[in-house]
Amino acid sequence: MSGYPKSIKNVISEFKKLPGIGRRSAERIALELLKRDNNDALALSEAVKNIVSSVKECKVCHSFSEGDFCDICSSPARDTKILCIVEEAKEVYSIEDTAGYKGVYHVLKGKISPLDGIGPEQLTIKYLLERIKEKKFEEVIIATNSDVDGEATSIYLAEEIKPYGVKVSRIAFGLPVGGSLDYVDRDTISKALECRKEM
Amino acid sequence: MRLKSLVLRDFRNYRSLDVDFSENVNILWGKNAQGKTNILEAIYFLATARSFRTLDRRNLIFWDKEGFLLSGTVVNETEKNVKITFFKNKKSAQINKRQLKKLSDLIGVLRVVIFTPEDIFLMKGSPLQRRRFIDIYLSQVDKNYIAALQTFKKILIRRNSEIKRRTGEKTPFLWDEQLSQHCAYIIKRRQEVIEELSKAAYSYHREITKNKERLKIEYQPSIKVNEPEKENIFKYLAERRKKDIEEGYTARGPHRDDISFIVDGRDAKLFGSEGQQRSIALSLKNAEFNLMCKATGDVPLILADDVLPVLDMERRKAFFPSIEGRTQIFVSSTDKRDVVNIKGDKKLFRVFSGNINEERL
Repeated sequence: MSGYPKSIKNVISEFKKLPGIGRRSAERIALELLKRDNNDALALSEAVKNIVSSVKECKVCHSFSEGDFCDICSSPARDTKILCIVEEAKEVYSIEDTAGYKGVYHVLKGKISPLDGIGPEQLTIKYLLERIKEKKFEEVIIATNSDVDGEATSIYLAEEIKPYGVKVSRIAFGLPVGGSLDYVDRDTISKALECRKEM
Repeated sequence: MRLKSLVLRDFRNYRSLDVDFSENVNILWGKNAQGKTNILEAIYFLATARSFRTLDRRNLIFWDKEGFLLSGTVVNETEKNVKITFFKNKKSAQINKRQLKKLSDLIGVLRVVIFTPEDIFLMKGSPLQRRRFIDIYLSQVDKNYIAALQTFKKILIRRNSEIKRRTGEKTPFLWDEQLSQHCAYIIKRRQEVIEELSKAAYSYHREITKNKERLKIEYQPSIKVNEPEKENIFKYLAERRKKDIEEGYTARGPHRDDISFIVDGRDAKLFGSEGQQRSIALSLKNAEFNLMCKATGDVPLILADDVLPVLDMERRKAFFPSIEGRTQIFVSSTDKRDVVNIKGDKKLFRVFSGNINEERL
C-alpha cells in the first residue's frame, strides 16, 4: 500500500477501519471506486455524508430516526399500549420485518455486561422508566437476547418495571421453527418447556 | 472404540509422525525424554481437548514453529477423523473435515482413561485437581455437562466482576437465576458420578488390598442443600449475598467443590501413606474406566504412562489383567520386559528422539 498516492492511501485506511474489512478488501474497494464511473464514488460519499447529518436518535424510543421522532413513534396506526424493549436499534427492524407486532419500541442501546463495564446507568433505562411512568402501558415485552447478559438485563428490567403495575412479559425462547427435538441441546429444550403455552 | 492411526505435525518433539496402531496393545518403549509421553499426550488431547501435563498450549508446539496439528482416525461403528490445529494462538477442530464451532465440541468422539504416576496428586494435590478429574470424566460422557460448566464459568466471572466493582446489592445477583440453574445440573451430575465411582472403586480396592481396606469416595459440595434443585440453590445463594459482598467474590459454588477419599473412616489425603495413596488412585482410575464403559456402552482407550515402576509386584499383577483384551491400550515404559507380557495383539514401538519405529516382538 505504501506506493499509492496519498489520497488513495487515505481512502484505503478509512475502509480498513470498518468491521469485516481487512487490508486487501479495503484496497480492492478503493481501486474499484477509481475504475468506475465517477458518479458511483460521489453517490457513495454523498450517502455517507447524509447518514452522518440526518440520522439521529428518536427522542422517545432511542431507535434510528431522521427527525426528532421516528416513523414508528409518530405513526397513529401503532398500538401505544404495548411496549417492546430491545437491546439494539437493528432489532427493531428484525421485529418489524415480521409485520406481526403493532406496538411501540424502546431501544436500550446495549445490555448489562460487567466485563465491558456496562451497568444499568449506561443504558437508556432511565428514559424507559420515565416513559412507563407517564404512559399507561398495558404490557411491556422484554425482548433482550437469551445469552447470559441479555437474561440478566431482562431480570433487572422486570424488577424495575413491575412496581409500576404493568404486565411484564419475556419473549419466548425454544425450538427453532421447523426444527426437531433431536438436534436441540438441553438448555434450549428446558427453555422451550418453560415457555410452553396452553393449547 | 479404537484409534486406528495418529498424525502429528510440529507437536512437542515430533516434526512429523504418521503411525498406525494395533487395535489391542501398543507398547511405546525407549529411554527417558525421547517422546513416549508426548504420544500419549497427543491422544489425550484429541480426546479431551486439553493436555494432562500443561495448561499452556504453546508448550505443545515444536520449538521453533508457530503451531501444531493433531489428527486421528477413530473407529467405532463408523470411522471418524478428528483433527485439532493450533496456529498462532488460533485453535480449530474438525470432525470428518467439518469445522466445529468450539474445540470442546470434539470431546467425546474419542474417550480415554489415563493412568500416570501423577495420579497420586488426586490425593496429595489441591481440590482443583480433583475437580478437574471429575470434570474431564463428565465432559467425556455428557455433552450437557460441558455446556453447563462453560456457561457456569461465564456467569461466575460476571457475578464476581460486579461484586468487585461494588456496584451495589442488586446488580451482582442478576445472574443468580441462571447461575443456580447451571449449578443444579453440575452438582447433580457430580453427586451421581462420585456415588457410582465410590461403589465401583470399593470392590476393586478390596481386591487389590486383599480385603484389608474399605475405600469410600465422598462428594464435598460447597453449596449444601438437601436436593440440588435450582430453587434451593437460588435460595442458598440469596442468603449468602451479603457475605459474598463482604468477601469480595462468590465464595460458594461448584468452583469450590472437593472430593474426599476415606479409608476405614480416615481421610486418606491426610493420613494415607504414599503406597496407600497409589492404591487409591489405581482403584479410582479403574472405577472411572468401568463407569465410562457403563455410561457410554463403549470401551474407552487406556493410556498408561510409565505406571509400572511405581506399582509394586502385587499391584502390577492386578493392573493389567483387569483391562487386558477389553480395550485398546497405549503403554509407555523404559523397560520393554515390563510390558511385553501383556496379552493381546501387540505392536511394539521404539521411541527415539522424536521418531518411532515399529519393532518385531
